[in-house]
Amino acid sequence: MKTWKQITSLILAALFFVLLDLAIWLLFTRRCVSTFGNAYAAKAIEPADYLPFAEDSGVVKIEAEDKLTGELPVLDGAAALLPVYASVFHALYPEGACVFENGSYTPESRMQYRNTRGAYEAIVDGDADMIFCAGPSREQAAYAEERGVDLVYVPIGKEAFVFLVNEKNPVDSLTQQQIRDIYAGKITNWRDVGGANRLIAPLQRNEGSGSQTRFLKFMGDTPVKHGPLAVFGASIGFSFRYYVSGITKVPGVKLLRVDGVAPTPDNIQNGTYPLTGEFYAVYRRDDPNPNIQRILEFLLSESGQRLILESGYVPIS
Amino acid sequence: MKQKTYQILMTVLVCVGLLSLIALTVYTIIAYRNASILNFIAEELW
Repeated sequence: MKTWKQITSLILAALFFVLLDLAIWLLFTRRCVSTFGNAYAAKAIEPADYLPFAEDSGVVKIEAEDKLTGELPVLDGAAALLPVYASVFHALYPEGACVFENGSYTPESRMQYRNTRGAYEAIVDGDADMIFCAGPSREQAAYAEERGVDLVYVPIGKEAFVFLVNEKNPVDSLTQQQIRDIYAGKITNWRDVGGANRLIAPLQRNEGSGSQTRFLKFMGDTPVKHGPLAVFGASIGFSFRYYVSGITKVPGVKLLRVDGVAPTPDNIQNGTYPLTGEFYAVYRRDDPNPNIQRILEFLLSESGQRLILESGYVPIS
Repeated sequence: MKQKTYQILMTVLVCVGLLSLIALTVYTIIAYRNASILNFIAEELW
């Protein structure tokens, strides 16, 4: 073979692999790790941004009339509700009760952050005394029942369960039935709901997360089918309103209207947004600590409900 | 270029190319398992 032919074939072979790697990176890997996207910062909530008593913290600084004394309940909860219970902690606890070192709460801290799955385990196992979460999944309820733990759920605020798409997706609104049909695999192309001719890639979260539990409740008896691999289509996902628009503030996504109603605080408060739900302060019924009731009284008081509102959520009353 | 040199170069190139593909695939699968829905949707190509 002539030299120029050999060099050309070597270059073509190298190009083949480079282009293949580049295509995989651009279409798929980049979206998972997003090392250069603005959305990278929004991958997860940062507990350090919501430290009680810190000067530049994102907590709402409402002070209760009296701080708690005696045995201090350990607070824990969902990522989406960290701003709420960090603010409750700030309002009711003495400053030394929160110990945060090297990016996480120390074991002796009365403030903890284990997210929904960890928090439900923690309250059943006795590692937390009050958790702030959406309702439990079937498995989480069973976990408590198996261990003979009776959990009490006190509604303290309202929040919208939202579906979201890329901001460039022309679809702005879906009906509840259309969403169920998408996740059931009956509607597979955005064209069928007034959008572009692209496959729909329905995304889900991990089992036991607050939004996945809410999603399964939304689907009810409709069986969920896994859609095409997300890389080949345009995605639809779900979360809670304030987690998307208030905490992570992720650019590049938009919240869908459901049955024509947008998930705004007004529509959540007046109940017109159809996927409105409550979130709870959860405690063990047999917990004898009087501070549990004091926290609940504060949460349901005017100051407590103002704290919920100023944290970005919708008060229960 | 001698035929043997060419064959060695081509073999090395294909091996490196395949290794890079395998490494990127493994990395992507691990990243996908930990990916955020929000990130995934925000970075979608339109």
